[in-house]
Amino acid sequence: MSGDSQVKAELFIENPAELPSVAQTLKEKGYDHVISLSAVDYPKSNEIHLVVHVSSYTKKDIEPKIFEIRVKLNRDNPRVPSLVKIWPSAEFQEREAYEMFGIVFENHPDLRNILLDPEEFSGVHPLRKDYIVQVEDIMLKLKEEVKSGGNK
Amino acid sequence: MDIAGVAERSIKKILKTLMKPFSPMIDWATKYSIWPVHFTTSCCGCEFAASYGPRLDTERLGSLPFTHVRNTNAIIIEGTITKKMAKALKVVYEQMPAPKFVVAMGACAIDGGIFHNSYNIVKPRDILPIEVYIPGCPPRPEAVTNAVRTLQKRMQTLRLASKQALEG
Repeated sequence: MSGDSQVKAELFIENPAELPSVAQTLKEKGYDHVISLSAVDYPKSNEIHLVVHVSSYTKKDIEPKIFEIRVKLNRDNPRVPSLVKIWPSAEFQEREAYEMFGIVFENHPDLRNILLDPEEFSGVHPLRKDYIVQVEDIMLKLKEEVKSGGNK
Repeated sequence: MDIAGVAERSIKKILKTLMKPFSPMIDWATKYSIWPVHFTTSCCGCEFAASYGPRLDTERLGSLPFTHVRNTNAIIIEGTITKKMAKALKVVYEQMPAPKFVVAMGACAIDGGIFHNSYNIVKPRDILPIEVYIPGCPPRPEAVTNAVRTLQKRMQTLRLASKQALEG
């Protein structure tokens, strides 16, 4: 097992309330820190998947492993229990997921914007698929204009 | 109307009329003392540093990068301006004394560059009056030197400094 950093385990959770108990079990097994915490937006099926990668520093046998937890959330009101009490390294990453996707982490000690300006981005979540960027691709617009001009 | 305010305004008016014959001198003096403030927001700062280094030495044109905002009169925007940084940029610009000039350096400062369709970008030309643009991603250090010379020429021919000092 040692030296093979490709080993990856996966777990999909349907009910967000189960996440803390799963995390507690994993922590007892030796997974002691969160590598990354992000989310994926699926607007067609109206759900957001919270993706948490955890690994270990202390236990040498599970150190090359990366454990992935995926949590299915409702897109209209994404709420999930916070992982900060179990893994403190999740704090800033939960704040980033909060501002980018609008996921509310219950019992988070300090849930506010970390990178974006709170005045400009209040209630707006730029990494969701339905967010409209004000200056969209210039090249595409030009192509369309040329096309419509040719047809006329 | 208070008397102190009226007196202050009339004194300023008299000073401006007295200074009018010296306006070419103001332009000439400001031309050789362009002091840009350090406003490095991204990678263009390296090229900016190189242009003030020993090889090109833009300081020989009378331009000295300086740390204190209230002692400077130019701002070279080196790179991307995010929405959060735009507020800081505005504060820095408003702190500088009257004849002041803005130079936009690099593709990001001109039109967004590689971040042109980002959700968090501000084009400096929307919030500040810009005198000179330096194209490139990033521009060569020679281009920064050339921009300082261009700004000097514009100051001499268009009377930018005396207009700001006497009218603004």
